[in-house]
Amino acid sequence: MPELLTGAQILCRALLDQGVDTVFGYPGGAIMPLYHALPEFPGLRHVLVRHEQAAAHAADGFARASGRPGVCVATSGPGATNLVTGLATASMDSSPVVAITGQVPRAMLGRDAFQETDIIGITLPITKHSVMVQDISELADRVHEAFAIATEGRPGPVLIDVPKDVQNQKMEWVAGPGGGRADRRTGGRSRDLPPRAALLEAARLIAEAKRPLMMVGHGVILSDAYDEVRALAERTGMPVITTLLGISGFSEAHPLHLGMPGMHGEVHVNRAIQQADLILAIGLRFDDRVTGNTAGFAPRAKIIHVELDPAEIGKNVPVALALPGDARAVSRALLGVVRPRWCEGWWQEIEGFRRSREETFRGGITPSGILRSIHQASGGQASIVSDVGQHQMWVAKLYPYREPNTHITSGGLGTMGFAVPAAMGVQLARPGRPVWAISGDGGFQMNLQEIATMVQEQIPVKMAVFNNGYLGMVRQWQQFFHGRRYSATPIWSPDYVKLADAYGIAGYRVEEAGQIEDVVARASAEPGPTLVEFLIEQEANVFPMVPPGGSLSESIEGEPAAAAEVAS
Amino acid sequence: MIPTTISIVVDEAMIPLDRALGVVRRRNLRITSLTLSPGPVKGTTLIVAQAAADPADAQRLAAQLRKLVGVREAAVNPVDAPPGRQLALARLRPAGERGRALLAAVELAGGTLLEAGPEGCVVQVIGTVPEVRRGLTSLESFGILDTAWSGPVALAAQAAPAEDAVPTSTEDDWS
Repeated sequence: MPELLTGAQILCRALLDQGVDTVFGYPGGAIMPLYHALPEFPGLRHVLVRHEQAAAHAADGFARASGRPGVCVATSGPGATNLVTGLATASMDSSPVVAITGQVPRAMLGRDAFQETDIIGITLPITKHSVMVQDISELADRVHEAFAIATEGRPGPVLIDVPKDVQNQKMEWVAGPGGGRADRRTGGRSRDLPPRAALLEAARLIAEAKRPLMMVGHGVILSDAYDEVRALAERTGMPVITTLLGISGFSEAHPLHLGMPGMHGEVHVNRAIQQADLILAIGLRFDDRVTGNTAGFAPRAKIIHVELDPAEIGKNVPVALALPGDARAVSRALLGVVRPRWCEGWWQEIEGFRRSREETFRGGITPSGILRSIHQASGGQASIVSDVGQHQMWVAKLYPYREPNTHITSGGLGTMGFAVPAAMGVQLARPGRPVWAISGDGGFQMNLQEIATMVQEQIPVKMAVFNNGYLGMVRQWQQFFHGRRYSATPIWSPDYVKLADAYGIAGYRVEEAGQIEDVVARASAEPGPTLVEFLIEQEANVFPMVPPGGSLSESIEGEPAAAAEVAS
Repeated sequence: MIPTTISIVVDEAMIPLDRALGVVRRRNLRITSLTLSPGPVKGTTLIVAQAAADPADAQRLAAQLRKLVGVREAAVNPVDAPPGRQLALARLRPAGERGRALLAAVELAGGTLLEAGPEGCVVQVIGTVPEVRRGLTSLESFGILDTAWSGPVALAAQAAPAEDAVPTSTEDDWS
């Protein structure tokens, strides 16, 4: 039986049809009709954030953790523009976010109306698709289409701009079959495989290689290809390298796991790449942070590139063999053609590349000690959401990731302030499991207002702040490459324990190593959101480091003797 | 770097057009010319840009364009790559009583009647340069007022109109 519904109500219905149960948003004038309708749909939980950027990051974190599209809502004008950084973050890391923005009424468009912005124009480069709904009659279809596009193929953010009068329009609504549930694990995945001849060629190359490597990227996580990739690695005996966003795509407890490559990759990992004669790359795009100077990247290796997005194959590095397709499907197909093998000599060679390193941290508070305690206190079940900076590299390299998809960070855009709001989304996607947001003091201050969201919405994220009083990674570059001129990098922080108290949550400060384990255990046991500040060595550096413009063969492994100027 | 023609067929709407041009722009290519015209099928727009590009970069650009929502087809070719297909639009005098004859002539020319009305007609002809010239010559008796050529484009050989690409007038309109 037809019902007379408003556009806002139809929008809510369409979201429910898509399996949405959580939206992160902030109300305002142009989106008010949607907020008026929301209470009629108790199946849609609305999380009121404190800044729309946080809504976008939270939706992103939700999407990465759940495999389902994350939804954020904002009003027109400044509300919409505040989503931009979050959408760009999601775009760079192929995360399916659906952003719904209010817009001024259609009759006001183009007249520089109050809170009018061309948000579609602004977000064109950072969205996979965007649409302004012109009439209530197309609203539901545009929503279903948006979810399908966000999840199909290489996932990405989609923006739906809905003028206020369209939200207020009414029409007779007849429930249809609905859009179905858009899920990157099922509906959006391509089943196409490369030609059999290409798979056989890949098998031949793998069989003949003397120094083969497997590189695992974000595509393995997006595709849930864990079992297939592990089986492929075990069948071929290849050492496995995980990029920053590929971390937790292959268990670090597995004997084949080698480490992270690139600018802050371990020496033995980078040397293995430079000595390899074959690289099987699955689900990565050879970002410059992974390759260093591309002219010097893997000079001896033939690259087999398994990648869903054909536009990425050959974009940054030449490949010997392209295997376009979904990581899981192609890995499964390769399992059907590769023969078992093992390269004992190669493994021994790689062992010879390993370096031990002694680092000194104030009070003995080491990143590895902190992360070990978090791992222990969580029983290895924690999802780690990291911000951007030095701590990000320590979190990536020192935490023992054993469970799939438990490392979440802003990789491509490197967005400071990502961790705290994204962790909210991760927590809501994984209720009952521990979630730690790990930030530096710089990034933490960018979105710490979301502690209020956690309190109001009872989202029990544990927040760790690696406080060294600097924008650490920038300071490190200034030390190494700009004559130790620490321009605008010393950064003041409030008393975080008092801040926690002001927000009504538990707060702790760790000033010496002996406190770490006990404080982390107590914080983990707190029922609600919790803040732990770690006072760490102020001028600690992340090693090793490939200098900008350098190849993976060039690593800075210790404090530079003389800092030099370098072109950016 | 060689002169390269980038041909993109997009849905006839602002957003796909903006998005496609944005991708071209962001690849840091020096665009030397840019034309827009009706696409090979109704409801599409043809963008033809010429730029200096490395051949490998140009092919990757085509791959990036093809994955955009709203882009139906994208191709890049060196400017002098044979065979050089071109697209020409011709504006003709109103057909009047010679409507049927015009339709027959357009069909023989391998063209498409895009518009027909009391103000005149617009015919699109696609093919190699000699083919397009022959087609336009065959239409001269109907009074060509103006022509526009796209320059070399790369279009699918089956650039035939889709089912919905019907002329705005039919034979019945002439009777």
